[in-house]
Amino acid sequence: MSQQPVLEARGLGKAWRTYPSGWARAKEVLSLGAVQSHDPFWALRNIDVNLPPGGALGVVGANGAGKSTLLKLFAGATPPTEGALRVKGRVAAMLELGAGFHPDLSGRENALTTGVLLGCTRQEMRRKTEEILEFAGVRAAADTPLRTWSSGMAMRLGFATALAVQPDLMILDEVLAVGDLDFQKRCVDAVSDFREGGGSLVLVSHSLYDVRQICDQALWLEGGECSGQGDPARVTGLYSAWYGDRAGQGETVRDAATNPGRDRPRITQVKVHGTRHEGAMDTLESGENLSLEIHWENPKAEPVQLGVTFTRQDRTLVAASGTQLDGLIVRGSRGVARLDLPCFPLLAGRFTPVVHMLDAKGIHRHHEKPTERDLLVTAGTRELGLVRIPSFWSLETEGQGDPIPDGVNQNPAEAKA
Amino acid sequence: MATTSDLTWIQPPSTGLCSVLRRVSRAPSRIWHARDLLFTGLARDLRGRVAGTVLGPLWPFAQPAMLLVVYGFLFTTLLSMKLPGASDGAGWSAYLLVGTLAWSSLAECATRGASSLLEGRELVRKLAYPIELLPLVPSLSSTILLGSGAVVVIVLGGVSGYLPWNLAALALPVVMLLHLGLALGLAWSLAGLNAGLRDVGQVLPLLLTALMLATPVFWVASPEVIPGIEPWLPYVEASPFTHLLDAWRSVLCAGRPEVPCPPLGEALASLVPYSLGALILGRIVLARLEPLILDEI
Repeated sequence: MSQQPVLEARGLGKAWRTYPSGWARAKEVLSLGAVQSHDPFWALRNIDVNLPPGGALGVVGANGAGKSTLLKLFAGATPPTEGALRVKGRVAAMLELGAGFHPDLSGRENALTTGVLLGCTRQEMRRKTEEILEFAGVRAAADTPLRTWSSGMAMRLGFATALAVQPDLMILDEVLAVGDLDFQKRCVDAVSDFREGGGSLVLVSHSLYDVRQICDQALWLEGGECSGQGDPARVTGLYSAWYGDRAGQGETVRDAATNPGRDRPRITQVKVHGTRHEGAMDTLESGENLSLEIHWENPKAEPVQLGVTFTRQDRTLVAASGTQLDGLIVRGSRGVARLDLPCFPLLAGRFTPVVHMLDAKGIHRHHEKPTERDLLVTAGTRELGLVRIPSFWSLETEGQGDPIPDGVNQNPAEAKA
Repeated sequence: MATTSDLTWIQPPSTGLCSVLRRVSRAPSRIWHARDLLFTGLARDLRGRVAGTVLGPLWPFAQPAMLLVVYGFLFTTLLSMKLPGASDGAGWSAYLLVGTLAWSSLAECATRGASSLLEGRELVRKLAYPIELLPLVPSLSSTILLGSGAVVVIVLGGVSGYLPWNLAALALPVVMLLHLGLALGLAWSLAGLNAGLRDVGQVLPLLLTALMLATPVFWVASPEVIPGIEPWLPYVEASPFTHLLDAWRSVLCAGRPEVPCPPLGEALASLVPYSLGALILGRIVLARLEPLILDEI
């Protein structure tokens, strides 16, 4: 296999056109471009990308940072203004689900048409239509005009069609969050399968979680320029910190995961042991033992993972623990999990423990449930920071200093003793 | 081993003469490569026209049949207008019928072509649809419908004796092809201009009405019929639209010798340069405006 990149961009830049007046536009159009009277508006500059076969690039950034422009360039929908790019193989761009659907045609006809738009032949698509309708779960409505469908159904059909095209490179713009939870789960699974099958992916998402879990490289755009590139955990962390500083909040939690349906895996109850109930919070002295008792239900008994995160008030993720990290997979239709946290190492602060229920791969979040009350950790010591790190000092000194008077300048850790 | 044939660097577009001409010369092969896309678009367009109707696919045949009945009734029974040297109004109504059918198809190609890029902007923006196909789809479907209308006219006209059968009708595919060339050239230019400058779409209906009145659709370019037309005849003769209608009438009205039109071969041959010229010009306009359109749409 050749290791030639699937997607390669060098010094890529895009300037859209703005016209100082209508006449300037008329001059440029009617002269067929011989008179160039537009002003360039740079949406993107100096972007370098190298995506090897099977790689997945996550693009993050605030609104208006140039993400959509970049995807349009990758999809070939608009030519670059400077630099160059090349793409190997068949590209399926889902810059919008259901783009190209005709409201008067049936679901079946639309699937076929869109598949051809995405680069399949008509024969290929005729073979695949049943599979697409099946995956989208719209078989019953397959022959009714699309205008009678719900928007969710149309989006599901759009996603199913793009997947069926089996592209070499799939470009997804914020489309993993469509449909109900069940469909989201299938989408995420399908994207993982696609990647396991050697497909490459470019993903724009506001869910940094998805970018970290799915991608193996990330690009953070800010004001049309690259603000960070490389390891997804590092780049999303940088972005999250920058965004948190700016907007006073960190990464947003997807709402759907807070309220799953009755037939979905979910957490029914979380009990906190080892704390004292004071006012609106559970309090705990740093270094005491804490344990959580998690009651869960999973009607379809699909394998899941459980996890607990501790988030500080400013939404900084401080610590996390998951069954997968201990090599455990949760099976069965209901049960109770107990998480013991001996000698709780967090120092003084107010934290929100959140219990997560995820699919077996740890990508799709079935349910997220915070404990009933926040956790207030008190520390009698003067230790600084968020956590107590296990540490031991040893001193080697030379020369003889003046003896230190008692009670002055003592090591803070010993002050309590 | 990966194939490297499709690995070319996509660079900022050039609108220099050479690169435009290269793109124009590649148009046929690009369209051939996108034929699946084209057929799909065409099927969708044809289906979209009759979607939700009871008669469905019968409409393209019912419409010209109805027009034929209406014209025939009006001009043979109600209005006593006759062509020079004719004993009844049948020739005059056939002249008008063929002129109307061909002109309305051309006008439709121009109008739908002009708005095709704006209507299909989602396809271009989200799916990188090749822009030259967007005006091609309505032009092609309109020409196909015109052709099916012509078949109806030939069959019904022959059966009723209104337009006696003539071998000239066998040239229908040729005149359709020439019609498509002229219509597509027009649609390509207008699509490009209108996508860049919406004012074009605003002027277009007026322009088409003026053109229709200036083209012998409803009148005969002959001093016998319109006294005093001589000074204008060279202009009428130079118009591609006159040649288009002449060609249609030569093919469809050959059974009625009183209908004024040039001999079939001459009519078709004189349309060829116009049709080819319009195609090339239209493709050049679109190629020149393509970078602007892809930024603006």
